[in-house]
Amino acid sequence: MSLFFWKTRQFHQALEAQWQALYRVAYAWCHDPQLAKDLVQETMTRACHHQHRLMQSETFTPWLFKVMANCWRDHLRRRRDTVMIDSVEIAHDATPESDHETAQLIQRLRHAVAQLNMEQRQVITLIDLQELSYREVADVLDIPIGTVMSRVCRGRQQLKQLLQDLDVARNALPGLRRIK
Amino acid sequence: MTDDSFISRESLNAFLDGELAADERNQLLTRLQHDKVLAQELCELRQTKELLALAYHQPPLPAAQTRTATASPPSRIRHAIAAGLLLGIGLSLGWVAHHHLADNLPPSLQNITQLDPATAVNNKILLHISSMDSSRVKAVLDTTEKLLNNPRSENTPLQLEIVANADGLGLLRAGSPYAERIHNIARQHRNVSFKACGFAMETVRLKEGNEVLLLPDAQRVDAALEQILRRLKDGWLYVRA
Repeated sequence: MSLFFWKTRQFHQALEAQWQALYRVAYAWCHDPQLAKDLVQETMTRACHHQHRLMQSETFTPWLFKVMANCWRDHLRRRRDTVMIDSVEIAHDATPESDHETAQLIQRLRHAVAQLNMEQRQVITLIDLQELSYREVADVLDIPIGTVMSRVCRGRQQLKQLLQDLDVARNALPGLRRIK
Repeated sequence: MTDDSFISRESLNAFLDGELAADERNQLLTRLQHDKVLAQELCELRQTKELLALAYHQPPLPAAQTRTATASPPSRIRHAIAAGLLLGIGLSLGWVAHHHLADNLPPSLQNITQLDPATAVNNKILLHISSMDSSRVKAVLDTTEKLLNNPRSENTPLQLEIVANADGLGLLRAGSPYAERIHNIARQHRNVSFKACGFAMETVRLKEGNEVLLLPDAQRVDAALEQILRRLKDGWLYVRA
């Protein structure tokens, strides 16, 4: 369906419906709630501005993530001379329960993701959180599909190793045993 | 790809992400049935993929929005805890389903219907759906019917639970396009239940400003992840659509 027939109001509704998905991926990229929110905001602004470039409503979601990837790349360029993004401390939930051991496990998992390089992190989160296809991820990040495959492979392998190194489960739920 | 040929990690990941062509996928499936090392590696990769999704299921909101989030009391915290415990379970169990399937395959909608109720250690299965993608919804409902209608389960009936959260909540909302099919399944089988995530319902209520109504055949649970956690602890087989 051509966007010629896709009214602006429908476009805005579709855009709004993607807020949560965009925020989740943005947060996984930067691990900073305020920055993630700003990134989503900028993405939506740009998307509205460039609405005419979207040719097929069926490709709306990947297109939107491509806009966000461009916003993110621009942000990293701007900040290159100021602060390394990975030096930002991962936000905690500001509640008493945040001391809970299990909440700590989530933090540690996010720390493990933060140890991936940005290229791997972007590819893996687009696939595992947003469930984009390899082809769509290649389009979003403007890289060959073979590069997507190798980044997924290396990224998951590293993440798997990091999770094993955490070794967090042994005392978490006594009574459970490993089944082979 | 011959039966004994080298399987690259790229291929294994592509299989996991549903990116392999049909013939390659079938060959890999055949190989997985007798290659325990490869099956274990696939299990671990799948675990990693699932844990990543769980870790960002409810990312923290910026300070200005936290007030809104905490207005719906402890759901968010419960989610984090449930997800954290799932992380624990995942890492300590390997993959629960390994034990239950005749082959060494990790559980999926594709292979779960191969489960033989007569010989399986456990006949309790939880299908988790968090998307309204029509192919996934169809796969879940098809799998549900196949499992329930398996003649081999007559003497040892399965216990089946479908848990919907996030966008998948639409499956169980009043007015769902799948209402009739779900009703037929529920009417014909007493050993199946449909559970809707209370957290997702609350999120939708805040967004839409109206109470979320469910199909008559669906029941609300506090949070999908808690429900999954409970079932895993009770030895249920977990399959994500």
